[in-house]
Amino acid sequence: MNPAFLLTAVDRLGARLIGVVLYTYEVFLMVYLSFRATLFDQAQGLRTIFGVVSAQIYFTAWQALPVITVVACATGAIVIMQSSFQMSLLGAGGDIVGKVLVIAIIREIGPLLTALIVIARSGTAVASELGTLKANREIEALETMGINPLSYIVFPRILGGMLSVLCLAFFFDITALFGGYLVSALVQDRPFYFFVDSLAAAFQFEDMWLFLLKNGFSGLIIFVISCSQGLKVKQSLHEVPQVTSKAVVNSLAYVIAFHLIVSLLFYLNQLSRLGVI
Amino acid sequence: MNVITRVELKNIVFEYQPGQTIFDGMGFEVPAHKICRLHTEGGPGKSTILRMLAGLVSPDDGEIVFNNEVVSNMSFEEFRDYRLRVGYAFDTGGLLSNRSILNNLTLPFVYHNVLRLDQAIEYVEEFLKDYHVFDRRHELPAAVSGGMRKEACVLRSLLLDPDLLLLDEPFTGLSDRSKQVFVDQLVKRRKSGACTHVLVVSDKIESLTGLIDQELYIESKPAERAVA
Repeated sequence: MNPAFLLTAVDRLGARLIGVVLYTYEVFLMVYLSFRATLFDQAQGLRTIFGVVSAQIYFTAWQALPVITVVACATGAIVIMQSSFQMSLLGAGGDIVGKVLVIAIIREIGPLLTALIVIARSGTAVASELGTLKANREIEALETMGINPLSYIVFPRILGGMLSVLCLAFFFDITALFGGYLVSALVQDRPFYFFVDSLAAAFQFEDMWLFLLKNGFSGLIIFVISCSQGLKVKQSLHEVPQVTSKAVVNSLAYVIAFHLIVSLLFYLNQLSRLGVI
Repeated sequence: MNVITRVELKNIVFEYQPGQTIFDGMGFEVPAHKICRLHTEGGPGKSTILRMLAGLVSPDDGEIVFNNEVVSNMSFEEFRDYRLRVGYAFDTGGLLSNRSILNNLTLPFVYHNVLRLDQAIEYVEEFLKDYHVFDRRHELPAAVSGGMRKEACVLRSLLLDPDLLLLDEPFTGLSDRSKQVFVDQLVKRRKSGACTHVLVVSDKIESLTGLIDQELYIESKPAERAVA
């Protein structure tokens, strides 16, 4: 192989990695600056923040309930149908239903699908909204009035977004479990108490931490990246769709990478407790 | 709150993009108690000077000094006291699109707890009553004409009785009546001790007749460096 080509490939990879590190630093810096601005902003009362936070929760969580309900119900039903069929071929018992639902829905699919829906609905909305504000010089207008955009616009969206994703993920899990129950009750004729017992036996205390960690940070990642991309607009409205699409791609990449790392650590911890490693 | 008594730019270096330098060592002191119209060598950069003084952009090098204090390296929070003493009228845009005209104008009072909402509304309505935009004050900026948006934007710069007033093409789109009301309000405020430093950027000479006290010509580079 041509050494020059190899060097160029290594250069490109290195440049890409440095770009990822710098972007991650930029995103963390925005989190720090927006929290700092909110803490040190003496003029801005809690009322101002909660007004914007509640509006964000309304748009991100409340208005997403119909789509989340449909997706969650279908997901729960599909997971139970597929897994029951496959498990029965392997000769597994009926109590496998709870384990499958906890592992597949609560630990993995629930947080991921909730994040995808929030990215598609609200991440794009926030990135394009902030991009438009920047292009129309509304961010500058706030600054001239002595209002810090990081505490007035960015922080409430991050906080509202995190709370929304947590609430939506909880709703998703409950609805998906209900969808799973419907299938196991209708198709497999299993009673409700059997379903609940199976779930209770499968649910571990660590699942709660996993739920909070994955969903809380998904919300943080989505809304920080969306705000950060939106504020990158420099002069013109034609940049808005560009930053919006970058916000979607970057949010997806970071959320999936984060979920992957957390799941990996979680299962390594489980294996370690079982004495396998 | 810090009253601004002296405004100076020292050795300002600024480039729009790498290699596109518009100021290289530029500096001047804003004359007090005068309304000055700003001119720059070659034309561009006037609005940038206003934006720098309003704290919207930072120079790449050099200092912006208010009252012997360097403000160009201050954080947003540190600069806030001075910022509230600076009124800035945008040449275009600058109104929050999701708030009514009235809300746009009352926001700084309410946000900084200068006045209660009802007091702020009363104050702003009194201020607005002679302008065309008064009748449409409850509507969103997108629902009113460009001239009315410009009126609201220019008026907002005066509302907090600033010491340093920066007007970027203030009368473009304003009717003669609105322009006259604004000038009267500006004169009244200057008599009461506000608006001690006023910088205007405008290419429309006829619109500023009788308003300007001094024409201020700024060199982008000091003479010896420009020759070199």
